[in-house]
Amino acid sequence: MLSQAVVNGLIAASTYLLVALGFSLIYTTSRFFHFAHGAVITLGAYLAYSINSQAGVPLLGAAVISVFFCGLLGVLMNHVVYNRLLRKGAGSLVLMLASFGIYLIFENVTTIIWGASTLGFSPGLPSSICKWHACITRIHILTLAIAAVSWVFLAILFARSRHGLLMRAVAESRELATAYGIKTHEIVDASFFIGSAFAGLAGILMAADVGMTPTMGLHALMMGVVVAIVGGIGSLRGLLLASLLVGLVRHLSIFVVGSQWQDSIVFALLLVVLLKSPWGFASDAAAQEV
Amino acid sequence: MQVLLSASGIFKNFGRAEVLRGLQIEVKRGETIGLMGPNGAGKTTLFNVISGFILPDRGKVHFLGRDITSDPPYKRARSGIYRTFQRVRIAEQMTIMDNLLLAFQDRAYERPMSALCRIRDWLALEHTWRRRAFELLKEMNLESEKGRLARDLSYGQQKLLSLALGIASDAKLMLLDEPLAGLSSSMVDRAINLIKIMVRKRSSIIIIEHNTSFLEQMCDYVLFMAQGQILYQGNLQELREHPGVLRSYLGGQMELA
Amino acid sequence: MEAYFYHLVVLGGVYIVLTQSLDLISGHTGLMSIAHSALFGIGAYGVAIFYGQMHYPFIVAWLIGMVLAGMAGLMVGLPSLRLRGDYFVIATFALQVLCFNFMNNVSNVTGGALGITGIPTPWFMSTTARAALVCSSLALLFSFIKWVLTRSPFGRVLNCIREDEDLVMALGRNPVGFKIAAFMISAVMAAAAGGIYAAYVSFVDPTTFTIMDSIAILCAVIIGGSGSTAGPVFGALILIGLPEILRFVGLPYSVASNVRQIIYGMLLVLILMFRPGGVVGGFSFDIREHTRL
Repeated sequence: MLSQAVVNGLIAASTYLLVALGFSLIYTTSRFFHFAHGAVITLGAYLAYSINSQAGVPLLGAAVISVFFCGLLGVLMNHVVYNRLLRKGAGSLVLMLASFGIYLIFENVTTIIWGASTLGFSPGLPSSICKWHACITRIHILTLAIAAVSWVFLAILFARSRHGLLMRAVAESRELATAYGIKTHEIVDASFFIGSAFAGLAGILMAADVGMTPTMGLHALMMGVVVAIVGGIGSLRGLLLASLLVGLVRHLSIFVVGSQWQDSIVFALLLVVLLKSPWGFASDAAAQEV
Repeated sequence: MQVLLSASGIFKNFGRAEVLRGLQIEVKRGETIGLMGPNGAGKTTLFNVISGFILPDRGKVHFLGRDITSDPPYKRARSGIYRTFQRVRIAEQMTIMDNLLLAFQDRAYERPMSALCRIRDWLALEHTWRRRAFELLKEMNLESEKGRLARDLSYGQQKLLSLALGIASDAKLMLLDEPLAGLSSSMVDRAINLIKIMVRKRSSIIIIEHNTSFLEQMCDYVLFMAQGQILYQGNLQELREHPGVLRSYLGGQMELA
Repeated sequence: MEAYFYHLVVLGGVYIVLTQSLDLISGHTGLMSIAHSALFGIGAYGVAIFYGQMHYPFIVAWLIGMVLAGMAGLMVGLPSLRLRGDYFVIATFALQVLCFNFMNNVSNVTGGALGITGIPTPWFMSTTARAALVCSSLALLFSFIKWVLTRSPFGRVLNCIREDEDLVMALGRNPVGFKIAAFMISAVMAAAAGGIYAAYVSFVDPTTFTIMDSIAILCAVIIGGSGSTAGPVFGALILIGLPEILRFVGLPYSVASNVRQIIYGMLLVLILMFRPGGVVGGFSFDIREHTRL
């Protein structure tokens, strides 16, 4: 029982990590909370579903195509909405509100096209391996592996590559980076592409596990946001630890309270962190400039 | 003359940087003091310490004989300290008149209950405030703009407005952080005009400014700050010959006119 | 036809109170909250429980709901002492979810997911015409209260908090008390709307008070025009009017609510892009960064 909860927690943690990685990658270069990320998660699952079941592409191929389209969708959102708002001098709050708007549009378009009831990929529930009173399916193993690989990918990208260096420069200051001749727009687009691709991937993996609904993205995003804030946006190690914390807290809490309180506990955790966060220190630092 | 403000033994570090190092300052009622010094000498930090936006690591600040070292900024403002900021701070999306009305304060009418139950009282009070605000607007040549949003004003006009807020607030001590910087010559005249009103109202004023002819004209004496301490106190003439001052300015970026 | 019109007036009135109350904190104090439908819900549950189930007089139950919401409003306001801008929105997000889970899960108090049904209609709302009269006068009353508040010295300080909190302090005001007061007033107003709403529809369940509803209310305020009196009225009318227009156009019921939300989303994005002050032209959030990171 306990071992199963731990396993479930770890699997949940890896999907949260995937969502949070994309979310905070976009936050680092653009400095706002991209809520429409949730819509990309959902759309990733549904696109893969349609490409697979309607166009007849094998699931793996469908997933790859869908992930690619998710990346493009993120870039598109950035170009059609956020860039225009930025040009008009919008701050992070306005961008966040706009992302609410985009989310609303996408969630409801998804509902109209695919319906509100749960859909699943055709092979149904895959076989599972059981040991020490815990069972794990192949999808679960795949989820764990992909989350780990994605994390390592980003770690290498940031630490080793020139592109990662440029991203960090843009994260520090967009204006300064532009002044130094860095093509900030390309860097931001790249972060939207990679971040949104992660989101689509997370959506497909979740859908393969428990099926898809039009609101799945919102819930996954909420958990991703909690992970991103608890871990400290921009810190890869923080995200990893926070995703484990949130995943395990969420699944171990059922031993203490009913499963209907899982989300409450996670959000209570978020509130505690928010109120004691380094953000408070950040505002002190700003006060010194006055 | 009565001592209005005294600060003694003020130390403040930001990380490793020692910005204020045992600073002493005393301001008497009605004095106008120029505060000079090279960049990074700690002038603005001193203002922040006096107005309470930064707490010192060590040292005491007394105002009107009362220890205000640990008071938050709003309490100090209430007891009569007004400060301007280097970057102009006004309520941009409020009208110019509303900005000025903010500077008048009667806390009895600021509670939501009295806002609702004593409408006639606060309207009457505001009527007198509006008249006084209008007088100030005339001094600034802005009387026809009172209904416009403050963000629509030019930079110079916004700076004038921030000075006018000080006058309206009837503060006993005005801390003016570079009130003339970046102003055109016609705006400089209007700003000086406003500062003269402060002088006439017997407010004590400390002005951070590099323009020496202005300081000569306005100030009773000048303070020269370097490396977190007051290096010199006296008139400008002697300041120019002070060896320590010369040294710190030769290392600094400016020239004494 | 008449009954239908009165029905719309009732909903319009309730939502005007709701948007006005949110605008007091979001448009005037500059603190956007997406926990507002939770406060609305507390008022509704207050009436459902104390009037519908425990049979207290309506007015008593209504007031209990408002007091409870006032306390909840205090909770929503507390994070604003440390957080601003988007981080504050996230904090209210968390509170909204917690509140919803409480309504949804504590079945012995709130009836859980089934909610509370069979709330008797109070005498002053016994016909839809009466209810319409009550709701429109409440909308007028609360709009007037908000109008007076925001023009008073109290409201001027709120507006200044939205602009620059350091300036508020430099001018001798402690922002803490003003923010808390604004949140409590706003919560009480939202709960007043909720109580009337519960009595009118005679049942409550958690699905009326979700995060999506909170976002819709915020959308309405921003689309209408923040920081003004007419803006929230306009926003509420869009919120109520759009579904009716869609029904009139003959959209099938199954997709009507989705199309409505798509339109809200589009309106929000378009307004932010092309008319940041909202339709009425109130305060626009684009001028200055609200966060100081």
